[in-house]
Amino acid sequence: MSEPLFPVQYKVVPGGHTPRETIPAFATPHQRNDVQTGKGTDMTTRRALVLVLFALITVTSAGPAGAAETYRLGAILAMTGPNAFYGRVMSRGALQAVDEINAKGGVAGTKLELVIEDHKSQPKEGASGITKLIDIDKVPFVLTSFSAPSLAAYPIAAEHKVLMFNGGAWSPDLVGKPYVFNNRMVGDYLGQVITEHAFKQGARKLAMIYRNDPSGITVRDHVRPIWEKLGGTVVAVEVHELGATDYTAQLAKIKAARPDVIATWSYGKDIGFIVKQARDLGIAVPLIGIDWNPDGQTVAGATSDGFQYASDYLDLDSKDEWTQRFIQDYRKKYNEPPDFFVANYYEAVQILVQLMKDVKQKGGDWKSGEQLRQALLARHKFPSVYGGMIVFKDNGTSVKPVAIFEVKGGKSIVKTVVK
Amino acid sequence: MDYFIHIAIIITLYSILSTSYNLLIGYTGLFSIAHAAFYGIGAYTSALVALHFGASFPLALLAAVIVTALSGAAIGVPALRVRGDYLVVASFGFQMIVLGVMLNWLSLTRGEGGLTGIPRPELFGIKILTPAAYLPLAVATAALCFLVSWWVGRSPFGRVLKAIREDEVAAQSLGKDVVYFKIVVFALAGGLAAVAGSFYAHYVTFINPLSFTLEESIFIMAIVLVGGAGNLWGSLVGTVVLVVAPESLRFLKIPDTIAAPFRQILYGVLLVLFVRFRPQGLIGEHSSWHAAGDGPTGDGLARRDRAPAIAPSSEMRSGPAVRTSPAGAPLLTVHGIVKDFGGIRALDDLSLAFPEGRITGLIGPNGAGKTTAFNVITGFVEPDAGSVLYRGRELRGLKPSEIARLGIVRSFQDLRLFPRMTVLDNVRVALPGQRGERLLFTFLGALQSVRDDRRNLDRAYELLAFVGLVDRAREVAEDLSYAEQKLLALARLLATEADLLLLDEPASGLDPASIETLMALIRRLPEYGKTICVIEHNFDLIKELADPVVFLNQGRAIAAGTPDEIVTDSQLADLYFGV
Amino acid sequence: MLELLAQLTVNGLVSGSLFALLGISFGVILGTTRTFHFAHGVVYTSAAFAAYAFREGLGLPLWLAALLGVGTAVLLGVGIEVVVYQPLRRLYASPLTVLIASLGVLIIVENMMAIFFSTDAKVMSGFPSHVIIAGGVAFTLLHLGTVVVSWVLFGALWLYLHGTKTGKAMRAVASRPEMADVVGIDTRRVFIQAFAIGSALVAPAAILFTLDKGATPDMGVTAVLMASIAVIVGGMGSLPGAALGGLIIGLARNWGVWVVPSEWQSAIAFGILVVVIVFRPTGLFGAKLVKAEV
Repeated sequence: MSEPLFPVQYKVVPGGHTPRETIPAFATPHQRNDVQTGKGTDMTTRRALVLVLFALITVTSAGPAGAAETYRLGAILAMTGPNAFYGRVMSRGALQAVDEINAKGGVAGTKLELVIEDHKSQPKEGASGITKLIDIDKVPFVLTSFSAPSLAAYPIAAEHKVLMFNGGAWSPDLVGKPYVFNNRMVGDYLGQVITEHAFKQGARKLAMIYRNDPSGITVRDHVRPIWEKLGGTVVAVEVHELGATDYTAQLAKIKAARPDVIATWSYGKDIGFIVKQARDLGIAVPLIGIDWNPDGQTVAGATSDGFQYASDYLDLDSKDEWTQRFIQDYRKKYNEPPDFFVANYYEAVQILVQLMKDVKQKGGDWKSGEQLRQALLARHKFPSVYGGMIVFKDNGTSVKPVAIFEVKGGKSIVKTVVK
Repeated sequence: MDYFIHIAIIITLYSILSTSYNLLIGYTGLFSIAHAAFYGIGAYTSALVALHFGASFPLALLAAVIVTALSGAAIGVPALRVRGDYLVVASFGFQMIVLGVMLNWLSLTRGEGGLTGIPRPELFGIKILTPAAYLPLAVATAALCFLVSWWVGRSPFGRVLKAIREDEVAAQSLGKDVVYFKIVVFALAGGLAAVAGSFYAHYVTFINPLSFTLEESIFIMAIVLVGGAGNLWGSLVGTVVLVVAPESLRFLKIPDTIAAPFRQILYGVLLVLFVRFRPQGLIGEHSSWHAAGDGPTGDGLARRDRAPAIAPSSEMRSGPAVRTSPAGAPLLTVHGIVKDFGGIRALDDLSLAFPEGRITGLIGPNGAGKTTAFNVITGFVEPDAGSVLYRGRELRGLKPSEIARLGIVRSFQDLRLFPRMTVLDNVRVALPGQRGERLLFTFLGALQSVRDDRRNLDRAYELLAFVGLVDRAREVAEDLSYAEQKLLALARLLATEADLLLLDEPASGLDPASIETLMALIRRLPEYGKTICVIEHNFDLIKELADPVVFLNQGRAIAAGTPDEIVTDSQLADLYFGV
Repeated sequence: MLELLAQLTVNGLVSGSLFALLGISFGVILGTTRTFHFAHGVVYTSAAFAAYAFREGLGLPLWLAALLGVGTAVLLGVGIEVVVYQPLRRLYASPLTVLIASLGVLIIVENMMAIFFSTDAKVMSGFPSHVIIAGGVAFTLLHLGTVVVSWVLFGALWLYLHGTKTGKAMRAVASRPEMADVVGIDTRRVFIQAFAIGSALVAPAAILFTLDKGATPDMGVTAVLMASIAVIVGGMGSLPGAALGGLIIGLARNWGVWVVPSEWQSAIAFGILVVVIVFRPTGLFGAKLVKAEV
């Protein structure tokens, strides 16, 4: 797939992530208070400059516009920065759910309003974003993504008993924390699925290259004993820095170890580089992993053919009625199929709605994050947009369908579905 | 309210970072782009000490400051010995390495996953949990850090920093050990950044490498330059402006996909526009904002008209007062100096002697090696052979600053004043033996330091009175006329209290009246026990001024004698006037 | 094992050649104009994105897109010199000031490109992706091209500087800027020339890199960092030094995986930098270090 030359137009993100906008408000942008001008016309340049900057600030203290009674939920996503791609799809998923619910009259007559803060995948921005959401927008529920900003936001959320929901990249650090739940599959399980698959295909000598972070290491340590118990040997284990572009040195060492399968415990663009550079080094053995995305595909190009990975499985041809409706609606709006990130954030909002209903039914306060959490722990099982049910464990992780995909001509083809 | 308190706390953190960075770039002129790395080392050290050893917050903070100050010195030692470009690259590299360590030393830093569960600070048994409780602590700390920077900035130590920024070579020539000052200020700035790091870590309770990237370093730089380099108040203003403005973007209708790069572009545009059109920043270094009482004490003014205004020799260091050798014996001898510059022999077996208490004239055609001789004597150029003896002590191998402190200073043809420092500070910085130039002393001996400085102020005014520049004391040196600058250069030289002054064409480029003023001053110097060597092209001046006169040609002293002897030597005249 | 060593050496030669090209492009500007041209990084990026836009956006043939990429880089490089640096030099701004402006330009252009092109990786098609395997050592046609282009350009620069009148003028300005004025060389023009040549040299490096690994707006920062390390390791003011410095870094990064764990690979270049600054601050080929410029 080729990106358009000026993808800014392509990336039109629904404008719902500015504060206090009723969803779907992106069709009707408000006229906000204009910056107060005419204050210092005869000032020196310096003072004028200071004034302009401070005038910007006065907007901040303009105070909340009197909006209709809505239920606000928050999101801290990577709307910009190196991971803007994820922010884009995740926000679309959440917005689609909000729109759908509001179109049906909201939850018990109350419309939802989604407030998105950009964390740029930066921890400091994550902390600032969630503080603003909790303090100013008074949200009890926050969608989050990426481990670093999520972890920075977490203590603040826990302190205020605000429920966080992560459907993005998985990290072992986000497991076992009382106020965060993950509806993304855990990486070590995905790693297990794909290596077992490789073993069944006849591979015996495994080489691993993993991303040097807790998630990469967790998968590495989880997979190794499983592989050896199956009867295989691990012939090389190499590590790579985050965001490196040159992997040839590690791959040369892996090549010299003569494995018959190479596992990549990594994410994003990095895998694209690994795959391409492995092929450029004349390595012909299969490559497997637990993630694949458009950025990686762009980098790898034709060399991605045959790459196999295990991942959350959103069956685009599912017979499930809800799944189909979700996919059709998304296609209509964005002219492309949703990926599982879209589905996860869509699903998270749907779960919230269920929790709100549960709390309301018991006569509780649905604006209390703690009561939402209790409702979740009481229910455990929710209908999943993937079809069937999603089941949460007490440690905050969940189980749902997983599939093994193979990349062919730049497209991911489902090979097997693992239940 | 929490949100606004949060922003206020962020402002306090950045005010610490920007004021400390200002000490580097604004005061000392050191271009380091590793401030976020220091910030990060501080944050990580503090967090790790608290997590692993259960250390209390003050202890973790202290550890952070020490470790970061040491790493500041560690990067300084190799990089600061050499040219400025190296520091740029080395600090750039340091920034990247620190980030790399944070990302990859998993067993220590947990990589991108970062450190979680950093305990909130606890002071006097009270755990500080909410932002509202944190704010006073943060404000107090920021104020303390500001005070430290401010105090350092106006101390003799800070004056030397500015002198280094203005002209490193001139600072060396006045006896300042430039490398020492640079390393100390690096350690200091690092230590202060660590305070911000520690406060950040214990406030957010989570840190990971992404908070300490190159972009963060550039952001800190933008704050300092927009606010005004060399002025700490400017950094405070810059911090408020640059932290609050982007936060308010959260409330404006700018699409997020554009907002972040747009913000970076804004920083870039600010950097470029400010260095081009308002290099002094919002609040300039000499803005009236921070005008301090630098007038002379009553005592100094009273002495202003006392003649001779220059301090009598009894007030000077031992040298001239207690003569160790009979007048006229050589104070300094140069023997057999050879110096090649890439195949060209600049000095060829040069031997010279400067008799004590006399004015020796050095003449010769262009390229005869006169200035090179000065460079060799003062240690700026290492000779290939020969020796330089001062009071019987070999000077070869000593650093220029060491030689200056022994009592030999030189002037420069192009003056090398400290152009953006005041006339007063140009002189004051040159005064020898200032205890306040030691960083610890400025704090531990604060009272004495203030008293010393009072005395030095009076000394400086006396010297300015001697050259007739008292009225211009508060002006910036670059605003003086050329003649006044020459007088200031002389005053600065005298301030070092050196016994041997090497003057490189002191009269060049001056009108006759100014020459007369200057010559009158120089002629009086031997009265105060000074020994002088002067390079001069104007033969008439030399005749009036110097005895003996040495004639240099092609790197050799080919004749020496009284002015008359030299003038009447027809052979020399031919050489000199290039027949 | 021998095979691995050979493979690592080949990898090192390929990336080292690219670093060498970066090094001489940066070095020719630094040496001639004494400008620490941080914004060289975005000149590099601009070449990559221009070539990408012409190739993938307008569908031009690769050679033409590459040529236009070089042109864009030259325009931007010279533009920065004329619009930003020259006015500052006329104001007798300190090198520090020029450096800050340069850094400012770097972030401005980098983020403008992020807005126009987004931060997703951009790849360019059109170069045959053929893997050559010789005696167990594998490399692609592109890798071979990278090595050849880098060293041919180095040779061309060398001939230009030593064989032509304008080249000699540049060398004169580099070694004795104050004398150049005296003998009637128009330093302003020579500076523009240096920026043009440096920018023209960095463009192929960017395009080759993009063909191999794709372009992102932030690619320039690493590039200018590597370039400046190559120049210091080789010795300021020496072009063969800069080229050799680049080559050494490339080889060391690959051989280094024998001794240094892979996650520290990017620290190797800095390790070399520190060693050089401590033990041989003049660099491998540098002239004798002046203690201070009197």
